Amino acid sequence: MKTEERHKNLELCIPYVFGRLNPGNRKQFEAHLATGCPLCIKEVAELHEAMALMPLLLKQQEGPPRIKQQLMSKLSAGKRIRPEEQRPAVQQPSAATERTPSKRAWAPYTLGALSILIILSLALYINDLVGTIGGQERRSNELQTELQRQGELLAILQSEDLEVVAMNGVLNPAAYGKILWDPGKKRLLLQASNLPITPVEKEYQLWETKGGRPISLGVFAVANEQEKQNFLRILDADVGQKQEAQAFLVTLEGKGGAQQPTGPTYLRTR
Amino acid sequence: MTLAEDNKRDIELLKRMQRGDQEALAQLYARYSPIVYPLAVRMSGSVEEAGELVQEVFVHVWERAGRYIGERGSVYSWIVAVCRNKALDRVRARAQKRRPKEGEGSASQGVQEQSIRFDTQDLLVLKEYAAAVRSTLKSMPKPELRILELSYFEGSSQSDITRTMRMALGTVKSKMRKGIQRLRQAAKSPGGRA
Repeated sequence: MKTEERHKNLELCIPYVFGRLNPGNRKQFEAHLATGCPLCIKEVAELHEAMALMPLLLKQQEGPPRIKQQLMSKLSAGKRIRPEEQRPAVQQPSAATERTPSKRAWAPYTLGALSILIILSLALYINDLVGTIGGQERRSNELQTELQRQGELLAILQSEDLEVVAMNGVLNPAAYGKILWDPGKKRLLLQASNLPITPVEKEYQLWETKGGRPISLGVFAVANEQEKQNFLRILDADVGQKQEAQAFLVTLEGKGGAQQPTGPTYLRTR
Repeated sequence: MTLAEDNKRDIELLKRMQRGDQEALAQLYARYSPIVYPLAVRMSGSVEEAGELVQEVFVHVWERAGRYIGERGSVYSWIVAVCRNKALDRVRARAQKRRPKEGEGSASQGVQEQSIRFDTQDLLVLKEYAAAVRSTLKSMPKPELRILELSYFEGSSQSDITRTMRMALGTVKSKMRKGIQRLRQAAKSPGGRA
């Protein structure tokens, strides 16, 4: 990114933190933050910390105990808190108790309105039902994918000839990783911890060096904080026997990977 | 000890929450609800609505503990930002801002009149830190502080502030910049001169 563009983005930090960017600009700025621009990330972090001092101007006060009780019971029930559930229901006078002679004249209209209401309710119910079924289908697909992944993990771990190598952090000593594979099968399991979240337009690349020549074993991205803590991925790669490999390393390259390692090395075998 | 230095422990709590540990959320709640609740009251203008807001904030934190990005600020600043954004969403969604009834006083005054209780040493540390920050910010020139309050608590735009403060837009912008600069200094060294 050019210096002047970066500077332009820097000016957006204050309105962003104050919530004054329109949705389009906010999305654009968040995409910019996701690229890992160190200047803007630092600026936003400092502004967030500074603005977080404002509530300290108010005198500290615990809320009523019922807030915590309701919160914890909702979490235990495993469902979201819906504000309308917390308010006592307002007792509306029943239409049946207000019947007056003039009401009879409105009977046809009332019946018509009721019919429309019933049709609308049915339409909403059907729409809701379709949405629920769609959601359940999505969930079912997610579970099937997860089940398949677990099966693949298990198949690798159950191999008789399982090879394992450990990798240490290079840029960050807290980072570490492992590669597990069965030489007879063209798949490997990569585990990594404390790799930074992958910047946009970048991907990590796993390499094996044989005879002084680097061979790419695949690319991957650490998408979020959870994956940063513990990343697990099965890669299709023919690693071969452990003794044939001189080293394994993980570098950060452009999206799609590189022909040979060019970016910074994050993990390397001990 | 400062809030920033306690951040590591807060991150540990978030990790426990990701594993479904409700006790971790309870600890985070005990630590920050004395700040989040008055903020919710101040911004919503209603004790009832503040209760709903506080719950929404901590449910949000519970559900998105795994999405917290440490590089972009402390856990505390994240929680406070979630509260502010949710409160502003509600305020903006209303056709007319709710205002305190005459003679009732502001909701924040009501909060200040209620008793204050701190259970643990952690909360005492937090209270001391807050007092140091408050003292620093109170020494800030009044117009700068007022502009920051209007922008932060009311969600006012700079144009709104020009009308409320009867100042030119350029003056508002310049005072706001200075105010933010003083806040940043205060964030680095609470208790020092803002």
